[in-house]
Amino acid sequence: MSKDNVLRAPSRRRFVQGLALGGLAAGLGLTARPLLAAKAPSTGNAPVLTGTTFDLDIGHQLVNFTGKEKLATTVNGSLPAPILRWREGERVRLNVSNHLDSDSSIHWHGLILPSEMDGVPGLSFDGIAPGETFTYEFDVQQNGTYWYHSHSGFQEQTGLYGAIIIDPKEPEPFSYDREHVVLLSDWSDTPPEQVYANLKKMSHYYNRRERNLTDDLIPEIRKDGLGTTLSRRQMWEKMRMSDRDISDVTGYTYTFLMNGQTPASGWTGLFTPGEKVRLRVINAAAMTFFDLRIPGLKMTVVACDGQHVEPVDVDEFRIGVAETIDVIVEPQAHQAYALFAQAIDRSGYAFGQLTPDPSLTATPPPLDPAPELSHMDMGMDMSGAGHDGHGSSHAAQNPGHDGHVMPMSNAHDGHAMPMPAAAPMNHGSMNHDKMEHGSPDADIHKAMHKSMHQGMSHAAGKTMEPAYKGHPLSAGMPVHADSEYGPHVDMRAEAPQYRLDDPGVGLRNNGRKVLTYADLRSLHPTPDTREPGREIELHLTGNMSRYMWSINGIRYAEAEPIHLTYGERVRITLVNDTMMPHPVHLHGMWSDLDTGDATHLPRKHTLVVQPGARLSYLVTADARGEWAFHCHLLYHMMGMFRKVVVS
Amino acid sequence: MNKLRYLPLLALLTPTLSQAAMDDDPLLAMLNVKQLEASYSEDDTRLQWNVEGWLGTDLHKLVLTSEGARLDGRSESQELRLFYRRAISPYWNMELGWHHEPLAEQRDDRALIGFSGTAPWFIETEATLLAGPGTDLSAELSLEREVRLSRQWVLAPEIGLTAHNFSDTAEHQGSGLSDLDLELRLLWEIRPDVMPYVGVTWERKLGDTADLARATGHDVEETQWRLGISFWF
Repeated sequence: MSKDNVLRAPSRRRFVQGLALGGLAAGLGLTARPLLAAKAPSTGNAPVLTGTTFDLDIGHQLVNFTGKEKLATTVNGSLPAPILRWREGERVRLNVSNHLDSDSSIHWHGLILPSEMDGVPGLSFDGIAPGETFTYEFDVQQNGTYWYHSHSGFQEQTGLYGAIIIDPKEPEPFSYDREHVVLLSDWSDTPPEQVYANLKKMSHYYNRRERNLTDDLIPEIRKDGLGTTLSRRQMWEKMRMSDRDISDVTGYTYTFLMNGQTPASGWTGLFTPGEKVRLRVINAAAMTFFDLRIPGLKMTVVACDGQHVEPVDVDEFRIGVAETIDVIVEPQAHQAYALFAQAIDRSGYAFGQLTPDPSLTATPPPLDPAPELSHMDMGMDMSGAGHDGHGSSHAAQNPGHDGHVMPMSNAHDGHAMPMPAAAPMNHGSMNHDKMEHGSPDADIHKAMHKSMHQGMSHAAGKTMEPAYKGHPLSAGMPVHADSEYGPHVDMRAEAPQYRLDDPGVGLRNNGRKVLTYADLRSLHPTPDTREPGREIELHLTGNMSRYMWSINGIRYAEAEPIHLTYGERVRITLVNDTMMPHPVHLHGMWSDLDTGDATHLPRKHTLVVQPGARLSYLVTADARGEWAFHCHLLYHMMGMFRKVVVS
Repeated sequence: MNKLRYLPLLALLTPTLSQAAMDDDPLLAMLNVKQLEASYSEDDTRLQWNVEGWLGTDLHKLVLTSEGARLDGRSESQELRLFYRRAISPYWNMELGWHHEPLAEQRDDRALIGFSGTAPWFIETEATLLAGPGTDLSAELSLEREVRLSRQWVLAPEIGLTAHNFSDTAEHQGSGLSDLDLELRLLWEIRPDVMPYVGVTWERKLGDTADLARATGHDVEETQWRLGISFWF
């Protein structure tokens, strides 16, 4: 057994003063390759554990992120949990002891391993009972940046998450001098059961940005007149939905953390000017999507979900819950750079800094304006229903909404094309007017859609997994199963688009180069080039106001498992029938995102399906057993979940 | 650190944690004190309340409501309802149960059937039919919409209408439309679940009911000022 840091006694409650620690916990950076088995310096608050055998103790511990002491769930007394550093090709043993008085578990997110080592209570094993130790043991077959977290109850919300770094067997196709883990998370002083109950009783409880008269409507009416304002508002009002419903749980209760540090304390990572610094960014939040940028620095994305991609230079990226993104930055100046990760709804941010000298500090830039959803985010028929796909970005930039003209106009920003991102297309030169509702095609499309909608889906009876007709990358007309109709589902996408090149609400046309899924191209050839033998279409469904979440309108408790035949190549197509993005995670097998570039599909473990959009990926069922498949938003997961059986 | 201090908190946390493991639809309870207020009219000061409590899941709830007023230390009006509320569409519920008025001489126990939910334009709607005894029917409709003035101030106008298919001179009720109720409250949202308010209400008796009131020397309309708090947990 070799581990480098002395583990803390599990019973000892360490006091983590989030507000006061600023600067004290400066990360010196993880030792870059080649890794020496000697001392690995700490990053943020999390110690680094290396070797092949690990003792992890799950327990409670007092933390203070807001000025109030609260109990967190931690591993070895650390929040985030220790960074586990493994080597590709080795066999690791992890003795996980549960010192809580409820069941616990650890899931190794994104790892390819035997089903019984996957750590999902009820599927892989029975969970770890209080006082018991479970030993995980498996071969490490991959390299890159991953993470681990509890798969029991709401323990992930209260702190049970940490980074996994796997050093590669072969040299990586890029070099760097220093690396830091940047682990983002969301903390609430309110117990998660209470957060969940609040959402069930009042789904907009945490949304403090609902439209109001003085801040929004009166200025809008002054600028554009009453008629225009009313016509803009009426769609949302009639639908009983809010275009400012971006996140279920927000900065109203959350303190956003970077490596366990609050924005007030600010995590600090060191660099020497001229160095190449690798940032291993992990979104370990329970509910929060982050938009991360470093003002003054380009970031080169080199890996996504632990898998190498062709390098892409970006100014900013959105990281969905449970995704990981590796970037390389080359800060040249002798100055501190702000690591700024805004929550998607702009209700707060996680903050840290890269600095050559701890006495230099960076200040966070102002938050961007709060985003607003557009028709496109509702999965609405863009060809017929008035196309203001850019409403959100324009509205966000100009509070007066000047770009956001009448609902039936030809406003169009080119980001919402119903075509695969990879298809050659010049957005700038397109004649937008021709694509609008005036064209006969649009009317035909609408009519067809209507007949599909009314005729097929209802006549088809109880189809659990509606068959998808047509090419998966086209903006096909969805068939909604009967199970999607009822009090538990408030919306069905009329015309979900394949929107890989859409940076998402709040990031469109912001003047920065924002990473999109269309930019991802695997550095390695697609391992399994077989055509998929079949397609499984799944609809992400819910009722926001009742706070119910499901797949195909069926919650996990009432759902049949999805069966895959061992060895088969299958296409999974997701249709998002809600107006928020869902990060969907398949355990145990890679998800090869269909970018249209079949030879170099990016491999992911978690895929973000944009609101009102369609997404398709290919899976080789090469791992026998029972696996979890679910939305990784913690308060959606219990309903929006399926068991996948590979046999 | 005083370990004992946190034991009760631990005890509170842990059982729910394990139960919540995969239950997307737990049994929840809510107490919603919609209105707890002092109301001031020309001569009187009353204590009034409108409280709803429920126990249930996403689609099925058992609801108990209590509404009433006390004047000079005694109950002036009281209404108790116990019913089953079932979700029937994304925004609408059906309600079925029992309506009880302990102070009424007749029709103190009646059957209740209702619809409640959110209409387009976020209009909170409650439509209730009270039946019995025999063919006696009363209908109530209430519409409310919150108008958000700013982040913290909310204006809540409400309109209520009542009608009966019977006359009862003892109870001062005439058939046809009987009462119109306009209410306006200005709420200060301290938290989404704690909102003190001031309000004004205007009640007007209509039709035969108004005639009955006039004949017995009662007012047909009344304005009240209200000071209260709305909270839930």
